[in-house]
Formats: sequence, structure tokens, C-alpha cells
Amino acid sequence: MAQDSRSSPIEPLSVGNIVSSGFQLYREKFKDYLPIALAAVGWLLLPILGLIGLGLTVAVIMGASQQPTAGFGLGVLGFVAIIVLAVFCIAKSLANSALITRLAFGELTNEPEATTDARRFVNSRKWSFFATQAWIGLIGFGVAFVFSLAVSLISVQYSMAVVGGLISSPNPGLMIIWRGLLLVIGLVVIAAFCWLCARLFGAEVPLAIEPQMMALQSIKRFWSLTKGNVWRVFLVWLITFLITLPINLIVQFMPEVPQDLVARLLRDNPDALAIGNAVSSLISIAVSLLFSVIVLPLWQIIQTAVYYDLRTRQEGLGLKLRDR
Amino acid sequence: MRYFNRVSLATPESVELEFTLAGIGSRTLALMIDYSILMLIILAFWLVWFVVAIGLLSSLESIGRDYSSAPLWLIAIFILLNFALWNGYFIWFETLWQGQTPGKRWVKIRVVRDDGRSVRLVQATLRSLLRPIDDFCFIGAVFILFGKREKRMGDWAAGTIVIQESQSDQKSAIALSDNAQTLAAQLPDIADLNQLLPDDYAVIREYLQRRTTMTSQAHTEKSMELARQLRSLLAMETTPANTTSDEFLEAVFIAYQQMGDKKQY
Repeated sequence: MAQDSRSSPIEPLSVGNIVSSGFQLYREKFKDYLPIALAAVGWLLLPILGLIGLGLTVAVIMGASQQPTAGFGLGVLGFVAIIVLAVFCIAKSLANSALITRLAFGELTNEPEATTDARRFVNSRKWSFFATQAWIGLIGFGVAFVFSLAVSLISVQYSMAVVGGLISSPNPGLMIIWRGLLLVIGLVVIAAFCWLCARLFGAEVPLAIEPQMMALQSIKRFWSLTKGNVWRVFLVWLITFLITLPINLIVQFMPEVPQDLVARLLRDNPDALAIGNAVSSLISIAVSLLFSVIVLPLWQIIQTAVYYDLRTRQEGLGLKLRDR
Repeated sequence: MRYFNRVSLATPESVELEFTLAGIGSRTLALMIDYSILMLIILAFWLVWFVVAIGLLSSLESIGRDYSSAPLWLIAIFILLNFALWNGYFIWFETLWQGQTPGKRWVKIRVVRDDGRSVRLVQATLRSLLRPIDDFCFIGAVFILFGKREKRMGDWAAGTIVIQESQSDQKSAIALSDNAQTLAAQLPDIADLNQLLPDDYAVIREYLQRRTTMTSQAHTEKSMELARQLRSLLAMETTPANTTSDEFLEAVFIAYQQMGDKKQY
């Protein structure tokens, strides 16, 4: 029984082995990556806490002065400040996620990097990580927009057909064709969505690893790496999703238990019910935060493993002769 | 590649064998494929059963005698056959295909006994009967993830492990140019081929096998990089004139093989 290290990491991995090695690395490095994941999630929490604090402050001021407009100026100013803070926090959070990516890549290539060096590298690029995420968001938004336009066009056609009496007339054949068409469109849309997700799956990984990268370049780079390998990336995503499904389900349904309990027990007491609901939703927020902290490193590692494999496959990464 | 659990087994003949365990990813993928196939089989069975049962019941009715218990019997047999199909699929394939199911064959993994021998009916049956327990709340997945030998409960009961099939060398043949063949003949005179280790040869072979699937830019860069490294490794001052870096690598590949052949005889 031995954990062996083979000297030749030069062959591309199979889909299953990408996932397995990701999980193995996750197990091995869990303790190292957990604090980083905690920081990544923590940074995201900061603007939310700020928003709550601002709301409370404004409410207190309004209550004290008895004037509805009293806290307005402060509120607007505070809100702008929080938006700025939020952008910064998101950038910091993304940089922390990217730190896990960078460290994991070092492990996969057998050239581990010191955490401080890696942190310096990703921190210098935090705005690019933000820009990458913004671009991905824009792409997603654009695609969703075009898609919903197409759907509304189709449904307009459909309702015109109904109004025109084409469908209401007893013609079951036409009806079946319509239904079939809708089914095909649905399947095509799902496939297209999966395809897009696969091509953007690790879009910020190149930015975390390669020199001289910018936000858009990173997306383009991952896009070209996934060319011809979309199904592979998609399968890796699907298997990882399936394996993490049990934790996912627990997180989904566990908070509902106390909520349900609270609702049953305190049915007759509205005040206590309000407090109980607040507590139980706090619990559910805490649980989902904990879940994100635990799962974040795994997905970062899986993304990195996909990137590593794509580069091995497409560019012969790791194929090198020893120095003389 | 160091992120795989490996296990060495002692066979009854006291031979030490080393295997790479299948890993959670490959096992999940295999299961996904198997369940998809099984689902199709069971759906087809339901369809057939439905048609047959309706036909049977209506023909019984036309006879006119009292067959009121027939539907109950049909349901009982139906449940029994479902159970048989569900388990039969895994037992049948794992026994007949020496520890493989269609899914496992696809992802190149195999069930073997703890001592490396292939599984029999008993092991396959135990694994299959315990499968529902392993599937329940993904208990099996947890066992595989955290156990050193990646055994789910079915594996513990049956005394089996799941391993990766050894990579067979059925790779595509390497296309070698004429230019490289001529150069290979001259190489022993102009380069110190003894400097080349088996590991270096493995890298060159791997490159030559995979170059066609690389992107063209990466292909060019990798080729130049390897040629440069090889030149310094073989203590050559320049690469031979009128040869591309790919041809040079091919020539070294051929020359090394020929060197090995000569040593053998």
C-alpha cells in the first residue's frame, strides 16, 4: 500500500482521473486552502454587513430626529461608498480564489510556489480578476438577452397561430409538430448553455497563472484551450457536481428543518415567531456560507486540473527533457 | 499523476502486483453510464410488460372465468423482474466480463479481488446486492473518498477493489519522414547518443505521438524547445543543416531504437 509518485506526468488525463486527482489534491491541501477560502468568502460578506450597518444607522437617525428626510443625504452617500467598497471586496475575494488556483497549479506541475509569492502575484491582478468576472457576466447577460428575445418571438408566432385559428382548429398533427418543435428548441437551448458554461468554466485560470495576461485575454485563452474538448470539460463539471450533490442537498434542506419547526411551534405567538424566523434564517445563512467555504477550494482545484489537462493535451505541457 | 492511490497486492503465487486504484471520478462516470444504460433497458422492459399485461388481461377476460387475482400476480412478477434486471445487469456483466460493466469498460476500470484475481459470481452478487445501501445518501461515495483502498461497502463485503486498467500501448504509429531516416544513420557519428536515458526517449516518443493533436503554435514551439534541449543533452554544437526540429527529433527517436536493437544482439 503506497502513495506512489510516478516520474512521468506527461500523458493527458482521462475525465475521471481529472476529477479524482482534483479530489485527492483537495484532501491533501484542505488545511492550507481553507483559510484562503474563508478569506474569499469573508471579503464578499463585508459589503453586505456594511449595507446592514448603513440601514440601521439611517433608521436610528430617522427615528431620533422624527423627520423622514433626516438620514437621506447620509444614506445616499453611504450607499455610493458601499458600492465602491463592494467592487474592491469582490476583487479581493476573486484574488483569494485565484490564489488557490495558482497554488494548486504549482502542485499539479510539481513546482509548488510559496504562498507569499503566489499571493503577491494574484493581488497585483485583482482588478483584472474583477474585469474577467464582469466580462463573463456581460457575456452571460448578452446570451440570456438574445435567448429571451428569441423565445418571445417564438411565443408571439405561437399565439398568432392560435389567434389565427391554426391551432385551435382540430388539427392534432400541427399541435404535435408545435410541441415537438418546442421540445427540440428546449434541448438545443440546454445544450448551448452547457456548451457556453464549459467554454468559460475556467476563464480566469490563465490570468491566475500565465504571465502577461489581461482580463479578456484570459477568457480568449481558455476559450481556445477548450476548443474540441467541450464535452470533456462538461463531463468533469457534471461528475464533480454529482459527487458534491449530497452536501448540496444537505445545505438546501437542512435550514428548512428549523424553519419548519419554528413555524409549527410558535404558530400562536407572532412576536416569538418573528424572532424565531430571524434566528432560523441566520442559521441558514451561516450554513450556506460554511458550505461555500468548504466547496470553493474544490471547484478552484477542479478548474485548475481541467486547465492543466487541456494544456498537457493541446500544448504538451510537462514534455521536457532534463537539464544537462 | 501523483494524485492517485496505488496499491500493491500479493497474489496467491506470492507475486507482488501494483495497481492504480480507479478513483472517485472514474467510478462515478462509470456508474453514470451504467445507470443510463440500465434505465433504458428498464424503460423498454416496462413498455413491453405493459403491452403484454394488457393483452393478457383482456384475453383472460374474454375466456370468462374468474381471474380476479391475475393483476396482483402480474404486479408481483413485475416487481420481481425489475429487481432481477437491476441486479442482473451488474452481476451478469461483472462475472462475464471479468469485473467490468459497459460503463467500467468505457472508462477503463475493473473490479478485482483483494488478491488480484478476477471476480466471480459470488463477489459480483455481493457487490450488486449492497449497491442500494451504498447509493443511499451516497454512503459509498464517502467510503471511496475517505478510504485508503477506495472500497465501498459492497467492496468490503465481497473483498474486492476497483483498479485502473493498465495502459496498453495501442497508440497510433508514429509517422517518420525519409529525411529523418537518413539523418538517423548519420547521428551516431555526430552526436553522443549514449547520453540519452530511457526517460528522455519516453519524452521524445510521447511528443512524436501527440504532436498531431497539439495546436499548431504549441507544436512548433514545443518542437523547437525539445530540439534545443536535446542538442545540449547530446553535446552537439549545431543541429544538422537542412533539417527541421521535428525531423531532428524523429531522427534521434529512430537512432535510439536502433542503438537498443544493436545492444540486444
